[in-house]
Amino acid sequence: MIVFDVMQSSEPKELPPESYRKKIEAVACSISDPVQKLRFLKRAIDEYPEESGSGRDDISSDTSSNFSESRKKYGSGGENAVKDLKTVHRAPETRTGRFRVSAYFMALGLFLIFLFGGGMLVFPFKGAHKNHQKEYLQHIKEPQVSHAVHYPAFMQVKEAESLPPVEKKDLSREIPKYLDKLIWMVEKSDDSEYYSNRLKINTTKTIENIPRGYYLFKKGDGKLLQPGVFTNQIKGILYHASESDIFAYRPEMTQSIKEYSRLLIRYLNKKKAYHYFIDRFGKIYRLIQDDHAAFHSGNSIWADDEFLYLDLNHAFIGICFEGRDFEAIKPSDTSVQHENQPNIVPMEQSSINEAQLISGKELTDWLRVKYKIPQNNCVPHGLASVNPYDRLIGHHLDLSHGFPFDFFEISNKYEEPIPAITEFGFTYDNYFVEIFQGKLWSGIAAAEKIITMRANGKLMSVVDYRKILNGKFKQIFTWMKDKTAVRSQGLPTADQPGT
Amino acid sequence: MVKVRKGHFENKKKISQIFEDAVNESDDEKDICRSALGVDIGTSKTVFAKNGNGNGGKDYFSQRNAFIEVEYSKFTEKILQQNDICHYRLKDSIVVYGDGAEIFANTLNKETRRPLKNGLLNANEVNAVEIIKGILDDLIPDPEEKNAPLCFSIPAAPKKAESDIIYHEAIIKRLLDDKGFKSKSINEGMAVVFSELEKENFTGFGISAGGGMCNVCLSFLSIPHISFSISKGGDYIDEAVSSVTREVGTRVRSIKENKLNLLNTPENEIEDALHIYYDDLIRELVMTMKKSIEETSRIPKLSSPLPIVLSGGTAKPKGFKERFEKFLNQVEFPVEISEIRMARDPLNATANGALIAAMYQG
Repeated sequence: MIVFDVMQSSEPKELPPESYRKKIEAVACSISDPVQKLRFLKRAIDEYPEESGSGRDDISSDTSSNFSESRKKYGSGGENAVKDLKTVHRAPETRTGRFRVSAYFMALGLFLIFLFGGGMLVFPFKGAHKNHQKEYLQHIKEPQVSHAVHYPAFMQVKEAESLPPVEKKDLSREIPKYLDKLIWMVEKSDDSEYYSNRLKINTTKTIENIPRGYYLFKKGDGKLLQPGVFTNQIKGILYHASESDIFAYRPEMTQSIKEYSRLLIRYLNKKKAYHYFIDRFGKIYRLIQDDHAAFHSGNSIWADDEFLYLDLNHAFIGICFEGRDFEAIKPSDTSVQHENQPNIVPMEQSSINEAQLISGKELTDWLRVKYKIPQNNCVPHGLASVNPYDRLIGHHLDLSHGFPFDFFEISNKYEEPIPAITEFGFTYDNYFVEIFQGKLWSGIAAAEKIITMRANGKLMSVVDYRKILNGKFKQIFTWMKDKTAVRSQGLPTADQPGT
Repeated sequence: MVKVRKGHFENKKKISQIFEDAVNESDDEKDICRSALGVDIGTSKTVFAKNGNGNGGKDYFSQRNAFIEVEYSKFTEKILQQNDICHYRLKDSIVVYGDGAEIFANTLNKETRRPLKNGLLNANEVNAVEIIKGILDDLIPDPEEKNAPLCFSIPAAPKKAESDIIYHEAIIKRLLDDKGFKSKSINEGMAVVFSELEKENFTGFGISAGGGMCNVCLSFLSIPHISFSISKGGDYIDEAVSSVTREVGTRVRSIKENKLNLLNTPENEIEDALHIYYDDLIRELVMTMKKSIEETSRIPKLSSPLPIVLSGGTAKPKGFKERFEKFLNQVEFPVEISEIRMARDPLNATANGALIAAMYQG
């Protein structure tokens, strides 16, 4: 068969026979990285042994040991390769190979007939060959081509080995020291993944949404017509609370708690709301696959040292804890309140329990290692959520108080300047102040201070400077909305489901 | 007997050795992967892809392959400079190119011109090479190291224009090599295969439906087997609809890109015409695929049906996939198809495939 080279070459090239193709396909299925897979296929085809006499059922101990070494070297990802290689061993011969093997058998048979005077010794070989062919055919009935086999463990090992510092500054603050060690997948089944840091993810509820793809903007770069960079990188983690109804956390309520979680997961899947959900017993579910967006952030703004993020559905991973940290004010209290007074108050103690926090930490650690997420981009939703039309922060408030930053080994974001204020001049209203009964995050004051300093530096009033920042937001927001219309995906025009 | 076993061992050893070599990247290979770039040079847009911050993500940058010539004035030049719009002076006029050209054309109520036509450098535009050079210079940063690998897409040679592609490829290659890259071309359909058919071991059809043409490539295990193009694409639809409805091209394009849903009944004359010309394009695409496969005697024996992946801006309207499926079911297609699906990111699939090719090529 004559075909052409991988690139645009007119040099004709011959594909190896079907049996050899099946062997390399089986091994290729265990490689998850496209470049490595391409490299393997190309080399395997290029180096096809023309004079090969392959095809018998023997499983070469030599080869098995070779793969055992690979497995040790690359982690459990090699497991599938070994399995596939066994498939390779059982493969039927090529036509020429079979002829050659038959010739050898014939010669051997004649020799044995001559030696022992028996004529039956040839047939057991023939029978054995047929049985193995049958076995092989049974095996290849499974669609080889559509195998979505991904054993990324050895990839993770490689990624982790080459883990570069997320930012050039103090690495120890960015990634806790113990995370320099590897976190790798140790087991994968049809319904779960288990990792070396004890993390277990239930994958039975995982669905697709839309592939990630968003624009990010360089900080301080507000020029009109300056296109943002289009990317699909995962840049951060946004923590949410479901703010759903909760049953008392007591043994006799176990069934009710489980049933409620089941219904909640069904609802969240329908809304494609979060990437991960942690139920009240700390069980982690992957709801949306990582490389797809989830509608968890609504309109939100966050920034790190380099970039501004305005589409956190696509840029961040959404982790939702089942529980609540706000409660409704009792009717008796509201009767004496004025018209626009909030009807919720922060709960003194969050309903998010220790089991959930431990699971959340394990999940965070793995995601941070896997996607090289800096700690500044791990943030509760309440701090990033905004109302873009009134330029107000705190549109959603989940986890806007009491988040255990220390436990997660990330810096306290309540104390750090809020990007929506420093970058786009957002502010807050009385409603927000009343919810927190005047006890606002210290990061708000820090952000206001930055704005005042910058305005002074530019010899203008804070009001005027804020107008410039608001204008910059309007430009980017409008630009992104236009792009969204074209791409049909991206920044939500209306608030998406979320908390 | 001994001899047979030896041959068998050698064969098996070889596959395992190739596997090990392939997954065990050397430091050099890692560096090559990091610095590699992929470029999709399409009729309407140039998209450039590079690896993200080492976390598996990719970044995409794009510029429209469009330009407009306006009369020179100091004021115009100042406005262009202030807004970072790509331009250069040509005697008594200013040539505005890239994304800015579209905005400028809308302001002046003019149509933009194209440095590329039907996927190749536009022979009717004297300054085509100069403009595409400007767009590539603006879009693609200089390489960090000399001879960094870069793959750029080229269409399959359209029938009766086989020689044009040689010129097109050579010019683009020269422009990129002059920037300091070690550039190579990749067939556009093949780039879609690299981007989207990794799970299928790069076996199946990759289709890129772009502005100037539709490119198709059938690949087996990463080896392109059949590739061809048809000289119909988004521009053909725009022009044809514009001609029969007497509507300006910009408005037709806007409706096509933002509102068109091929699953719905057309609501007005423009949508009606868009449906008709989309059907025409899809029909021709399917029939050419059928004919090309039937004409070749070299289709390998297939153990399982083949997938088809659709990508490109022209394939983006809702319902394109369903229409394609409908036409495919109407003809007796010579090979069995497992599924027809849209690329994960239709606008960037070719650039992504070119990037994968560059990472592999080194």
